[in-house]
Amino acid sequence: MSENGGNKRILLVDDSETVLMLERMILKGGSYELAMAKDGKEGIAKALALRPNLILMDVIMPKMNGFDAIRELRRRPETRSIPIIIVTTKGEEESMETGYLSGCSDYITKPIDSLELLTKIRSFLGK
Amino acid sequence: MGKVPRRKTISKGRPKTARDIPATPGGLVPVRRQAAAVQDENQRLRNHVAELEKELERLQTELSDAVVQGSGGDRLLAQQFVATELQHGDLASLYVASRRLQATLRKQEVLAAIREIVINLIGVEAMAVFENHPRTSTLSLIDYYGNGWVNHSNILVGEGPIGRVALTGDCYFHDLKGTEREPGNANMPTACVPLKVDGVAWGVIVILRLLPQKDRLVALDYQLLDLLSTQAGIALHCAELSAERAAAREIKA
Repeated sequence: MSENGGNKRILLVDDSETVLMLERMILKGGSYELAMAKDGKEGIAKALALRPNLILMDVIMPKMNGFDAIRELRRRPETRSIPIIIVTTKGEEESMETGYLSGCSDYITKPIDSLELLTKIRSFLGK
Repeated sequence: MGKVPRRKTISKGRPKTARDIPATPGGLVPVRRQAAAVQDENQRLRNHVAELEKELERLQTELSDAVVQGSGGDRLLAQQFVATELQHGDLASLYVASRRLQATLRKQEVLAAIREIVINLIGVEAMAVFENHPRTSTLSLIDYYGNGWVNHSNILVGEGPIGRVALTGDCYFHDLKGTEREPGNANMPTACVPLKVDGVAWGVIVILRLLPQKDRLVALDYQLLDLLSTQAGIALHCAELSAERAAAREIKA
């Protein structure tokens, strides 16, 4: 449960309206409370304000990229322990290593596979 | 899971379905009919997604009950649940693509929506959109993402895979990763899809390279490309007509 006692809260951070819409559609049936942010900076602000149970973070975004946003979130005690899954277009080892070094908990690659996304989210949040 | 509200697609006073619009040759009516058909298709997708969401909810409940009771039927239910979740995910992609294409009447925004759909929902590293100019029998590059478009700014209709797709209106697929192609042939497109308006290619979407982690196009990709072929051309044509109409209004004023 989230801190306010409601459904589990997921913060979706992506600059693409298409990706945000797809993530919302996939997660809608899971009784999650969803919040959206369009870049890394807004993602940090919303994470601090909403204290989500999990964050789905894109990598390439304006203002602040996903890796920098994760580093910042890991630096702050209020958001340090929130599981963060990065959603990346690059499947190469180098990109994943950078993700783990920045402090992400797991990653998925685009195009988003709905089953993979749901399975990873359930593994962090439970059914 | 709550009841999914029906999306209102067409406002009062307008034809409710594509069939309600009378067919007359020329002018805006054929385009309006096609646009209404696209909205019908979008609504059908939305309804199907909503049905699958209800089915998922039902299966989840049954599966939980079966697990609690320890009955032998839970494996079959689990298989059904996974299959339905997969189908739901695929339909969600198609619905999102359709919805994004209908969200605007500005040409640049339609092009941005096409780009986002191709990059994020199909998984592409380099893509472009070409516009067909029937008067000069040429195709011009109007939008692109990624590298590899330096030698593709203008193409003759009928020339190469891109030009042939514009000429014939048939899709072209070269479903291999760039690394597996013949030497010197790395700039050959993976896919060229016509953007059709009234059966004619308004332009062509070209996929040059898929993302490195993606071996080939899958069934959902072909469905998305089919949707783009039928809906994106109409969206771009409607955006052009809208801009012409606005310009004519300005001149009048």
